[in-house]
Amino acid sequence: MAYYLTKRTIWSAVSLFGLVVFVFFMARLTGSPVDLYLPIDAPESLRADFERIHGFDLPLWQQFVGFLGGLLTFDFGESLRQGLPALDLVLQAMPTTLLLALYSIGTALVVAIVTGALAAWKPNSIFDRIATVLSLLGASLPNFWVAIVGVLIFSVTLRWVPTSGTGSAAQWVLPVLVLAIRPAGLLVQVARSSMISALSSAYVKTAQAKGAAPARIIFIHALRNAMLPVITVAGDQAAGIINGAVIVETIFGFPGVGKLLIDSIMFRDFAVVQAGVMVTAVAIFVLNFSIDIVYAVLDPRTRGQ
Amino acid sequence: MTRFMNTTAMAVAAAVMSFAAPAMAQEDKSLTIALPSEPADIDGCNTTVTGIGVIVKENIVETLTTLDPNDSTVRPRLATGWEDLGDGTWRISLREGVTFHDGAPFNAEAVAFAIDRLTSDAIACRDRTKIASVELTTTIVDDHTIDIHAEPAQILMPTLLSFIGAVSPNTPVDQVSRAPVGTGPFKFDSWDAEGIAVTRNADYWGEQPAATDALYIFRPESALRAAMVELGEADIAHDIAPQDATSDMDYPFLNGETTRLRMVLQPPLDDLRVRKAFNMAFDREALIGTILSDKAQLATQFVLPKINGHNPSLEPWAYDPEQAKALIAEAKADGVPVDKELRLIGRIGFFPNQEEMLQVMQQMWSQVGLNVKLEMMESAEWLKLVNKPFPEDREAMLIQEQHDNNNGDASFTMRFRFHSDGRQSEFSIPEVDKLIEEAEMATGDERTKLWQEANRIISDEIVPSVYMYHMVSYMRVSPEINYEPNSLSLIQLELADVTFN
Repeated sequence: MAYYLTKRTIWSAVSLFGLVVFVFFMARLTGSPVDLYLPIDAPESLRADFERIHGFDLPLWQQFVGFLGGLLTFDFGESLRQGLPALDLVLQAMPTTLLLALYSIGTALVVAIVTGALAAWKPNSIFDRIATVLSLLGASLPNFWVAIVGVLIFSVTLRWVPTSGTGSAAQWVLPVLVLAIRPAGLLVQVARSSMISALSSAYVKTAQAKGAAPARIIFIHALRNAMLPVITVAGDQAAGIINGAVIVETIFGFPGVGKLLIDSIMFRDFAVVQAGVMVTAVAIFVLNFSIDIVYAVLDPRTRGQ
Repeated sequence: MTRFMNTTAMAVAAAVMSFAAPAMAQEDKSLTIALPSEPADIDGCNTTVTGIGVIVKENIVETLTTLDPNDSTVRPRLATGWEDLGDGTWRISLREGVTFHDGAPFNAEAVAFAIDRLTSDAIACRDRTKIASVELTTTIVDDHTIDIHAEPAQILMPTLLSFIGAVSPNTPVDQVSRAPVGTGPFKFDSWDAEGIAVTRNADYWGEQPAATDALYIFRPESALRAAMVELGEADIAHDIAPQDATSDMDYPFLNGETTRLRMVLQPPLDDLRVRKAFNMAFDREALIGTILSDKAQLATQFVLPKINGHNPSLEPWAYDPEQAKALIAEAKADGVPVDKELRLIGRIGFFPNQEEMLQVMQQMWSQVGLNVKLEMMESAEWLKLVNKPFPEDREAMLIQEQHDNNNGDASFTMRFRFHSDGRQSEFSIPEVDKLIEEAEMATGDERTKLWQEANRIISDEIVPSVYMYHMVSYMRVSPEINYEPNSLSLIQLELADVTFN
């Protein structure tokens, strides 16, 4: 296990490095920040000053060497927009996104496991059919649409929660729910099929024969065994939530990494984009790592490997 | 179940309470302004940038003069008077008894500092664009009088003064500011994840504004901004899309922007008949009141009606598909490749419904046999097509552009787009060059006539564009307050103009 984890860490470091190099060059292919920052009719002298001040007048290889030098000391350079260290901006925004992802995937898991398990108890029952339709709907609705409809229903019509912003707990409700809907939809399906096969297994039959209560059979005997595929998909979805966060944070004015990345991409703030990609990649790496450990806990067979 | 209902009701009540706070705060006269995007900085020397000016200009940092939004005449602000001494020198009298938010006195020295900073090459101030290729030197006459010399001489000096923001002499000269210090009726307070906060300046030289403080928040979705005003979470929401502007809280206003398609004059667009056909086959009226606001106006030129140099005798092209077909047939008979597929380049994010608008235009043209293919581009990509140097093998295409000139005079439009040495000019016509050069040097009626003649030749004889509309924006204003948007509101929203009901 230790050998496996060490090997994975080394490989991840190599691919992270490759990723950052790739982002460095790809970002610069998309056009110069000069055009985006300065008015369209800016005179040549102003453009030249702007390029010189921010180092865009240097040849690309020289910019790249400077960037690599900074990487060694975790210095991603300064944000073009805000004049602050890029890594600091990303690290400040990260907790918000992580919390958002955690609440969302937590909500999705709870909804999915309960609904999936109950649906699996009597396949093709009315409850199962309704759950299937709703979960498919949830998995296929685009985030930006759900977000706006959510605002129209829960803020404008029902006036339960504020439309957007941060500060109060109520302002977390809509973003968390919007982000949870897609993974929840998918996880309900995974939990349902996984439970159906668990419930038809021999040990469940044994438990039924012993006269165990249905709730005990579902949630104690079958669920633990049915959890593995759910955890795998949930891990995958948690990484996907970072993507969804880009949209949801932007719409709701949430100061997370997603919003920071989008703003930085729009303004060609290369330093922040690079730092953001790096930190997000590390977060996803840590997540996958944790899932491996959860596997080991849930499934004794993987422990020795 | 009942207990569950009770818990839910309590949670809902708590949620309601937690956001009832901003509504209550309205009684102590706080404003919340919802804008579409967060600016990169809010420096007093970058205020011609839309998202920056709307917050900073005349609220935090005041300029020496301001332009009247209705007729673009120059009004005093921190400058109380100006006089042309000849030889390119203007003598400016400054308002007395004004202090910056940090306590520094506003005087001739401060103005000299602000101009030095604005023109410094250590910081790329974007407002430099407005005084491009002009060398400004200052001489302090006394504490409240300053001479500004321009090389070459500037007839529009009073207008140029409206681009010079008085930032405190303590502002760093080599760094863009995210905490501007000026003399305005509001002081910068903070900028955090929530937004940008300003508070009323108790020592303001002018009348005290009604609002005690304001918070600028940033929400990209038009529907959400609109909902915020409806719910009392915001007082003003900028840039509401026409489909969301459905209530009597929504005020349409001509926003100073004009949109057109620029034609790249390569075959077949090098042929005047084909360019005319494009104009005749586009039913401009059909889009007004449908996918565009019914307040939008047909454009005949880039210069707005209220700007010096606008030619009121120009008529919009009448919709005449038959004539367009005839012109195309004629051109075809002469060997012009009229069947060639042309790119129609739209730029994402100019205004709501623009892609739909371009699709309709594409459809109208296909009905007379003109073959265009719509491509929507992000701004960085689009910028590569519009600025010189153009690639050698440039092909004919139509490029959507939007331009605002709220600065009182056609000179802020013409050279850049229509003179041979303009960075975005598609043609080189000595007659037009000469008119532009003469107009730039002329004054009074002579200047107006020369600009008008240049615009007539460009719009009626050269036809290098499909002029579309003078554009309309919607602002949603809470019924709790009074604010009437004007043509400058997108770049300059004076909080001091807001009153409470």
